[in-house]
Amino acid sequence: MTAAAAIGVLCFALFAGLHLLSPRVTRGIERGPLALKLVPAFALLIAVVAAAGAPPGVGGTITAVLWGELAFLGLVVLYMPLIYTLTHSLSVETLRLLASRPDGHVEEERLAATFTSPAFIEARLAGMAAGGYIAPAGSGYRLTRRGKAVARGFDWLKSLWLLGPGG
Amino acid sequence: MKALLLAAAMGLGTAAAMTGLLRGISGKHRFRSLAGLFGAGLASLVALHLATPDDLWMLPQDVLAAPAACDLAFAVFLYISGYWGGLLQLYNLAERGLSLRILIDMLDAEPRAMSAADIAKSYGAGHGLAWMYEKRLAGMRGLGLIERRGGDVAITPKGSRLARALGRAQAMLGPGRPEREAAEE
Repeated sequence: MTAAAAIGVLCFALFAGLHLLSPRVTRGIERGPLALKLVPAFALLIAVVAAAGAPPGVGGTITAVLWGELAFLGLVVLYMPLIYTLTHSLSVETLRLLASRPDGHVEEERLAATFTSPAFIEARLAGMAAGGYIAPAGSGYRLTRRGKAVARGFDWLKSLWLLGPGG
Repeated sequence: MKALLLAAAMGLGTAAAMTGLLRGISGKHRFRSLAGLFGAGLASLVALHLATPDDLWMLPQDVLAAPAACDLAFAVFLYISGYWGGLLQLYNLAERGLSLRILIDMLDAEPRAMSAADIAKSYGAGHGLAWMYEKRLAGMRGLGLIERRGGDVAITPKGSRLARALGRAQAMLGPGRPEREAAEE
């Protein structure tokens, strides 16, 4: 079982390497859609390799595959939010913007206008469209089937956990 | 297999406790309570693993992982990744996710399509993007990362150190951050 977990860890290292390097190799590949393609491919690879090296018996094979898959997926779910925060967090971007100024401060109104501007929102919408959650419709955007499923799921979760309007 | 079963059971228990906690506790104390819940869940998992036999009185021999210490370590890893990468991420996304809130606002506006201007105005069930950004600034002020100086927002020494660390991490990631470029235009 530990060998199967090691396969999962090794595959995660390969996944993270490809995921991190992809924008350096080409600007045409977005990290989000790439991850959605890489995760199932690595999951399949792990299943095949872990099953091939599993101890004899159905129980042993199932356990080995589960250990390999869960080691991989456990690391992926810890890694992805970290990357997403670094690339998409408004708070991170605000700090970076302030730190880039020689005097370290910006007029509050100007700062707010920067991060709530149509250009900023358009950039976010373009990323969401690339991820397949929304699609252009006329002069705006509309939810895709995937976007509707995610929105409904989280809307339900927000009401279950009594969360506020968000932000 | 013992690791998987115990981590799954503890994960489900934690999710149920988290739901009860979030429904019963108001905003300010939530994060500290969630951290306490994680600590209690992890301690319970370790205690349960040590107190139960390897086969949990029912598992066949061929699904047991040897040695038991590896099984315990794997159970702890699964619980940590499930909590920090699963439950807590769901909470963060549902509570603070900008893209997610845009999706929910677009769902509420259906069948009408929404432009960037519509989103800026109606974001957060009608509160608007400016309201959201003020919340973010207030959060950063609360953490001592920024401060108000007259009509300006200024980064603190603590904020500068964090910004440098984040800058190094972003440099490692390489290109692919169009939002920052758009924001700085």
